[in-house]
Amino acid sequence: MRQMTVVLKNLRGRRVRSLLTVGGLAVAVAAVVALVGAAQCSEQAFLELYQRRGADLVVQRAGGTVQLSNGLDQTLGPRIAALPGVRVVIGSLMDMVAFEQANLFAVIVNGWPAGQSPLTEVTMVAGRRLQAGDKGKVMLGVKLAGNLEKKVGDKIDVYDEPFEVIGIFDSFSVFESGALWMLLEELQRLMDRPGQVTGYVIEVDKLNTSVDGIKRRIEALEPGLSVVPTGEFVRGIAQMRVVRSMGWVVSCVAFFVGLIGVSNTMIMSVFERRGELGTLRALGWPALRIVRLVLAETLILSLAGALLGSVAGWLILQVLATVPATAGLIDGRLAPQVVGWGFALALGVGLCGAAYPAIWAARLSPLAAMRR
Amino acid sequence: MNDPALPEASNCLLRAECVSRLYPDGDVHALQDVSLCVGRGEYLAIMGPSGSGKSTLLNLLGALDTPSSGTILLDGERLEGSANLSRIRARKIGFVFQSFYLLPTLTALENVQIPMFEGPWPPQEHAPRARELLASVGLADRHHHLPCQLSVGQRQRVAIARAMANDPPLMLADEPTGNLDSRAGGEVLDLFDRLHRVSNVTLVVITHTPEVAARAERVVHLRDGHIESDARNSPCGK
Amino acid sequence: MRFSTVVVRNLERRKLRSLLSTLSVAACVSSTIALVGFSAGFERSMTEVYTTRHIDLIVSRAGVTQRLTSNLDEGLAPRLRDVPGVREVAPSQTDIVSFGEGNLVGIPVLGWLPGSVQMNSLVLTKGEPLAAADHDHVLIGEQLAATLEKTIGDEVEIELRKFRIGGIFAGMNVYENMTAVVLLPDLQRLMDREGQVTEFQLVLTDEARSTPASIGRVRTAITALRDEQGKSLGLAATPAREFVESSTEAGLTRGMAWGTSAVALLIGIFGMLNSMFMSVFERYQEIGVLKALGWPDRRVVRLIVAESLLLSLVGAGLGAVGGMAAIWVLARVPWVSGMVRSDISPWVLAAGVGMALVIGLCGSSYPAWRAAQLAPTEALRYE
Repeated sequence: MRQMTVVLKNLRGRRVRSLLTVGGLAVAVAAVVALVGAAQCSEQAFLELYQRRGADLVVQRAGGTVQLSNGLDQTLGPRIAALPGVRVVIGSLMDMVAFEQANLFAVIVNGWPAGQSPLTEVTMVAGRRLQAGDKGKVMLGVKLAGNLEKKVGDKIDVYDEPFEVIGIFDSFSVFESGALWMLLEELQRLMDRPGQVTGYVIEVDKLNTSVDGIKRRIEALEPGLSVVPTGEFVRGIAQMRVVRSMGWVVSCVAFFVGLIGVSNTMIMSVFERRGELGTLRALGWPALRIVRLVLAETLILSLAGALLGSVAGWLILQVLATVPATAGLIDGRLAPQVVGWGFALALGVGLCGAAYPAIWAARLSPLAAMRR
Repeated sequence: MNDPALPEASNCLLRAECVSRLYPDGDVHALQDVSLCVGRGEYLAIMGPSGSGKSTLLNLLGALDTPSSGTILLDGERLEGSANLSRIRARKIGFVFQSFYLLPTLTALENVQIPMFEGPWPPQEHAPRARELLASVGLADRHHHLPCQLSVGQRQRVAIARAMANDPPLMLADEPTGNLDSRAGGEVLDLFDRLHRVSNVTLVVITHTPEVAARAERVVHLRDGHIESDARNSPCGK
Repeated sequence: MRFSTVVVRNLERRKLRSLLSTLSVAACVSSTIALVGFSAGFERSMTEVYTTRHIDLIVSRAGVTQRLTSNLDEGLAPRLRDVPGVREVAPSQTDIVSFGEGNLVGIPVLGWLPGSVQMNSLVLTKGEPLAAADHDHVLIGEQLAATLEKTIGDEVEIELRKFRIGGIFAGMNVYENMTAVVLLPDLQRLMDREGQVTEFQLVLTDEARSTPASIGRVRTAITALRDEQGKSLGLAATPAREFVESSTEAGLTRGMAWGTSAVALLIGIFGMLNSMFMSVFERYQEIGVLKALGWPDRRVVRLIVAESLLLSLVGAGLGAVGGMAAIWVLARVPWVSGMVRSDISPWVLAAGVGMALVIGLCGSSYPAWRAAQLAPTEALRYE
């Protein structure tokens, strides 16, 4: 009877240790899933935005790694539109502002030309659309309006100037529903960029021309232009690259720290059971089977950690999608490949962490059992 | 009912009154209505088959456990409900275990000093006092040996020195010779005799061996959680 | 015997586990020191660019925290000069560009006026500061010159335009050493931003800069500037340190550094909990003996926490070495060397040690609590 309680008590010790190991791994996976997932989600949402609005090419100033600071002259627009095969040309200005009282630090501000997409295409939830000649007026995305607690008719300070909210719109994209829109001329004035746009978005008549052909012809219009398909553009955005490299850094640190933790656990686990393992060897178990045993145990812990961590990471993303400070950039979707990356991380940590203890256990001599 | 074999109530160092202890899992009694008085300076042996409750009784007397009902007084102080149990254990009780339980990474000298952290002596006196104690158990030349470098008999003697570290009035020993061969066991029992004679410590020893019980002044027999008999040994032993 | 002896001996008992726990803490601490050191160093470099030149206030567009995209009309300079307390107004344009043949991207280029406080403060090892006539000339920092393998008189391509190297300067820190300076009109033309600047750098009169209150008055005056229609000019004037700290760029780096450190901290705590729990669990019987011998619960707790803290502090030491080594290595990698400075502020090291202490305390909390809860009789029953 007392023997049983001893065995049970030892198993309970092992259960706590297993839970703690899984916990540590889960934290690592959750952090990676949340960050890489947010980056991925942002990129995906941004890409979707351009694609659903029918953009095929994005024209900007070449070189320079900070897209928002470089500008193109507004006269380029009509020249691109004149090229055969070009359907739509939309030139716009973009900036990022902060609304500190509402704890919003990265709010997108767009200046669009009147009478064109997307001003004409978004679903209005309240008020009216911006029209040519509207001075001192803005449209708010529904998410932004909610965070700032503004309704149609309210005043809002942008660039230290009062504006009137004349409409609230909804969009399929989080980048639009968290943004503030005004007419292009107004934003040009506020940003001191008269006659300039950040870039042009081009829709090509794909039935009759090749996107590549248009790209070359636009590039020939004047030197120093960068004309890229939307996918490449989104991936290359400086901020996207920054967030992606952050994801890498976190993954590396999580792997490094997690690896030491798992190694510690497995080494201790194997060492404490050297008696049993030695007995197994004495009973004729080949070394390989011992190695498989240790690996299998570690893999179970890794999978449990990956599962728990993925769920936790997903939860974090949902929270980020509702918290005002980040709600304008994240919509809470989690791409399956990000979960895959999290699992890969956990399994990688598990395998590397189990390597030494597995080999050590396999080398145990049956005498170790008797020494206990 | 005044048993002439029992000393006067006021002379009891350790006094158990109608003490009962239930097993933790159920309603079976490990001890039931046990009353016992251990006189100051007495050498007492508690005997009984396994399951008789002797270990339970020792745990209760040693302030390691609390009775389900009844009272235990050590040197006039009530043990049950006391908030000071660890202090009582430190200053008033010395424990000797069957498996010695020395800390494996500390030397003999260091092991003896373990209880002294909670003792009355200032830190600079710990080591000299420990040396004296080791000398009194005959291990003066083994200060810096680790337990693994000592024979089992020597280990138990270190444990006895440790139990005496804070000069407690009461010493409790649970099957002190259980893991020793007859020679080492004899040495330990001789040591107990000397301790009892010289420092007048009250000694309570649990055993199932009659030879060990015979060395004590008084033997209490336990069976099924009750005291079966309580008699004094004749000066020549039984 | 000292209490610390017991602590040390217990850790020596399981050398491998103690070593691994120490390494685990070291991993967390070195990540933190490297990341936070990087972020703090970045901010320090950016701030030094202003403070060593005695720039008291930086005027930028209000409400915009991303410094590189801020845009102001160059013509505002006279209005700023008129503000009482302002001695010198020096416009500045910053752009991130690519250097042609070296295939270097992400190089900051500054556009300054000849004879300005910034131009005059450059420490030139070769050549002369740019004069008004020096169009299409560029001054480059020492590290940039070394990376491009060019020297004074050579030609270099910036954003597809050819410039001649008119001088090489020794920057005040690693960041400045990787920058280039051209005349303001040249940069404006190159980047299609005629008449615009990123910011105005202000030097105040001795009286105006003497107290925080007097600087504050100049700040308020600038924020209150209005145009002819009475509309606010939308300017913000910020002292250097605050300017750098509040920028989006600094905020992002700081967020990443601290965020990743927090993740490392959590993982480290789990690891230490694991280690300490196992260590305590193995010693349940021994703890029972200690309690039987008279050790109160609080002394047992003290023992366990002390073991954990000792492991953590050793880990902190190793981690500090590791973190500093990581920064040292990064400072030598060509494409990040402009952003990483090898001198680490003691506060960063303190942050690392603090992290280790948190790991030590939190990582021993549950095991210590369990040890305190152990009833001696139950503990003695363990094997």
